[in-house]
Amino acid sequence: MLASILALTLAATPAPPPDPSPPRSASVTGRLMFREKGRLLAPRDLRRALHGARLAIGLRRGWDVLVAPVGDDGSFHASATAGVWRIEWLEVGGKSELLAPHEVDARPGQTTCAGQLELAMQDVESELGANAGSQLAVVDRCAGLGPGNRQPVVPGVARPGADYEGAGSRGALEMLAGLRGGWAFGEGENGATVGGWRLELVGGLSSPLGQGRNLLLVASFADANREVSGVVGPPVAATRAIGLGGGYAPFGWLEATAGGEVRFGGRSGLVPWLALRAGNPAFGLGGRAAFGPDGRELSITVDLSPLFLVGSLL
Amino acid sequence: MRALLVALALSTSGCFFRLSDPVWAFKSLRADEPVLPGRSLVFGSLEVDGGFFGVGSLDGIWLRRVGPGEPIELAGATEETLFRVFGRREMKDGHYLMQLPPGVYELVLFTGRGWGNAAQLHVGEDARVSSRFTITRPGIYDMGVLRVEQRGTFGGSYKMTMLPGSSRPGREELLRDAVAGTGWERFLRGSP
Repeated sequence: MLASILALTLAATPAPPPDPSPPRSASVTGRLMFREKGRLLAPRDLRRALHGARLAIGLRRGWDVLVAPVGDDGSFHASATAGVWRIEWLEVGGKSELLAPHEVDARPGQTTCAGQLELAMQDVESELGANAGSQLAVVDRCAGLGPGNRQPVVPGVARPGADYEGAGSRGALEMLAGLRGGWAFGEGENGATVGGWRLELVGGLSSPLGQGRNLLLVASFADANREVSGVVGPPVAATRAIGLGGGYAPFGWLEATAGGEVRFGGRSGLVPWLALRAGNPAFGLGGRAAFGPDGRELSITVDLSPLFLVGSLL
Repeated sequence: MRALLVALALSTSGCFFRLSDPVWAFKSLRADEPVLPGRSLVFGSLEVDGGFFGVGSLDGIWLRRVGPGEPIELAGATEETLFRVFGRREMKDGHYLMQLPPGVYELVLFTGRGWGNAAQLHVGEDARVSSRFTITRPGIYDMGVLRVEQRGTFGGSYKMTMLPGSSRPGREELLRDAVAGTGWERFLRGSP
C-alpha cells in the first residue's frame, strides 16, 4: 500500500523567531472529549479503542509549536507565551488527526481555558488518526480545569480560526489574470458585419478564475466597426462601448455573463448583452449577443490573457 | 497567488516554447523563503518509466488538501509556472520542493511529456486515498522517491511505488544546497 511506503521523515525542530520583547508567560488549558454515536466519552473510556496510544493536542503560533499531553479525563494544559494560538491537530500515538483550526487567546499572567473540545466521529477506534472527516465542536465548559492555583483561570473559549493564514488575499497578478484581450466577429440583424476588439476585466467571487460555481463581475471596453455591404455607413460606423455585467461559472471551463454597455462614438445608447465563454483562464472561445439600436448582433469571440501570454514565455 | 499560478500552469502545460529555457536550464533547485510562518517545506523526487510509448518525463506533481474541512484547490510543484525566469526553481530533474500549510494531502495528478506532447497522469481514487499524508508542525518533510511505471508496453495506466529517500544517493546534499541561506535551513540543522 502506498500509505505504508509514503513514510514521512519529520525533520522539525521549531526555532523561536527573534522577539525583541521578553516573553510573557501564560498558559492554555482545556478538555478533550470524543463524541461517538451521540455518547460523550473521555479518553479513559476509550483505553481499549486507543490501544494505549498517547494523546496530545498540537497548538501552533507562527513557527512555535506546543504539544499539550491529554490526561485520562481529557484535560490538557500547556505553558505558552502570550498571544493567539491555533489548535490544529491531535497526536494519537504516531499518527495525527487534523482538527479544524480553532484559535485561543492566551493572556499574559493567566491560564486561558479553551473550553471543552468535542471531537465527533462514527467509530473512534477505526477513525481516530485516519482523518476520515471528524468534526470538532468547542463547548464553553471549563469547570475543574486548570493547573492549580498558580494562575487564575479565565474563559477564552477557542473560536474557529481562518482555514490557514494568508488565505483570502488577492495579489496584483491574481487580479490581472482576469484581464483579457479579445476579438469579436459577427453580424447584425440589418445585414451589417460587426468586428472589433474588446478588453475585459473579469473577477470572481472565489479566486482564482477557472473554478466552477463562481459568481463573476465583468467590466469591459470595446471598439467595434459596423459596416453594411463593405461600406462604412455613418452614423453606425465605429462604436466604442464601456460595459458592466455579472455572471456565473457553473464549471471551471464555462462562463455565462450578461450586462449592459454604453455606446458612444457612433449611434449612442445603452445596449444589453449576454455572452457565453468556454475555455480556461488563459484563453477562451465564445458567443455574444447584443441588442443595440440597429437590432440584434451575434458575434463569435476569442480572447487571450496578456498576463498568461507573457508569463508563459518567460 | 500560488493557486493562480497552479491553475494557469495546468491549463497550458507544455504548450509553448519558452524564451527562458536557456536560463532555466542552468538554475539549481532552490527553495523559496517561507511565505508564511508555520508552513512546511516538502521535498521529494519523481522517477518515471513510461516505456517506449508512454510518458518520458514528469515536470509537475499536484496535491489536494482534503482536510481538515472541505477539499480545496490544488497545490504542487511544477516547472511550468508563469514568469518562472524571475523566481527560484522549485523543481528540477524530478526533484521538487513545495510549501504547505498544516493539513491532510493526497496526490491527484502528475504532469509531464511524452513524445514532445504534454501529458497528464490522473491518480486513481484508491491510490489517492492510499497516498494521503499529514503535515502538522512546521518543518521539512522528505517524501522520498516516488517511482511511476507504465503497466505494459502500450498501456495507459501506471503504477506508483514509494522508495525511501536514502535509496538514491545525493538527495541529502541536494536538499542541503536547496535550502542553504533560507529560513528553512534551521530545520535541517535539527534533523536527525
